[in-house]
Amino acid sequence: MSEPTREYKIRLSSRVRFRDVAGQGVLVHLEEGRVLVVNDVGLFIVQALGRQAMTESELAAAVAQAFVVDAARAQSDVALFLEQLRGEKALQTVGGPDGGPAGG
Amino acid sequence: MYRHTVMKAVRANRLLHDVTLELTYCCNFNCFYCYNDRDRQGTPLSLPQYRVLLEDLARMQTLFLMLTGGEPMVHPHFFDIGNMTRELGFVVRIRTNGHLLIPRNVERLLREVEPYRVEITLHGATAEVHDRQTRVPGSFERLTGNLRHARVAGLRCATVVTPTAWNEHQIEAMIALGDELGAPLRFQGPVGPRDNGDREPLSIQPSRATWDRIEALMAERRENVSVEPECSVSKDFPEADAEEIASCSVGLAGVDIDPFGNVQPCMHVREVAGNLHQQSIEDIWNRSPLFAQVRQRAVAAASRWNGERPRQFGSPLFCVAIDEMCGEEEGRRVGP
Repeated sequence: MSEPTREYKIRLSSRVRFRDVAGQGVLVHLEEGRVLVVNDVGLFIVQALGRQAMTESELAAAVAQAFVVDAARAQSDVALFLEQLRGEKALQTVGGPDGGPAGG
Repeated sequence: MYRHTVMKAVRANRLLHDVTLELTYCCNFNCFYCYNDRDRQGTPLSLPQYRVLLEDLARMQTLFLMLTGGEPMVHPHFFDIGNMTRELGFVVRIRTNGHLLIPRNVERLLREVEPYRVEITLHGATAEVHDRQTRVPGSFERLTGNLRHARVAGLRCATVVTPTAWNEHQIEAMIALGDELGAPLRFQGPVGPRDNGDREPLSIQPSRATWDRIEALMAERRENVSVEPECSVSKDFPEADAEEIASCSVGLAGVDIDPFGNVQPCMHVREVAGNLHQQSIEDIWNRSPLFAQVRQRAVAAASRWNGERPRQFGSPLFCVAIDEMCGEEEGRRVGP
């Protein structure tokens, strides 16, 4: 049984700016003042979360398709990367699986 | 990490990494050592032209912008331009004298612009010294009041000091004031001539001993106090160091755009690579040979130090424009 939190939709925090700089993702957190550099897969995820809110499963599926990797590997890599982004306060939750309250 | 990965890619692909927008030369202060030539003439960029410029820069993957002047907040469309920078996802620093950072404007900045940081020029630790340099009575009291409110409101602020003969006795006090106001202090310099060639500001150059003291304080406090050329991107954006020991990063990955659309290698090298009334920023950046030429001049000038740290007017800094304007009389004399 999957963890309920996994199906919360997340998106990039409005306090984060990012650009694709020659294939690398450069993220700047406006409040924390930190700069984070991510690789092409990280950039793909950041761009996706910058466009729209997605669940972790949706992200993993998109990564698996775009980078032609198996679903389990994509799920694991995406989870790890999202943890890193959460640690940087770069994500915000936009609602629960039942359309519940948004969170930071 | 950033310097060895991102900046390497930026330079290899010749990307425009950071842009300084001098929105206006108008100012509500009259600082003694200000380098701007307020008599410079031209057709200011319109709001639609700023929109085109910013959209082009976003497409070119430029991330870092600095809004400066003059005093950028006196520009009639300051908040409109700031709002565009937010919508287009730039990381924005604002350099201001702080006089207009009144509560209402702080609220608007937070809501409409969301700057990464606001950098405020501090001239002294007391009204007597600060106001002497700004030549605006009351400017110190107003600034400190504004900064206290800005901090409470959640605006990230920093203070910037140019050491001079008039404030060099207050170095430690200014650092303490920056700490008290929650606006960490950075030193910049040296004082340069005005853009119209007037060398009067050089008369208040601080002593070399002052710069030595600042360096010692910087080492003691490490990241809390820093010394940088005025034109460099902040150390918070860790690409500031050029690869050559004695050179600034002019011509490599950034440009300055004046209020009239002139695109220049930096705010001190007032040579025009192109004008936005006639060309796009993309055309100018990709086609003008000026950036590479200025880069070569900077590296050649720096090479005279034979790998030793350069000093201009006693400061541990190097600016190719000051070298070219004042080298014979001072800048080169302090080299090896």
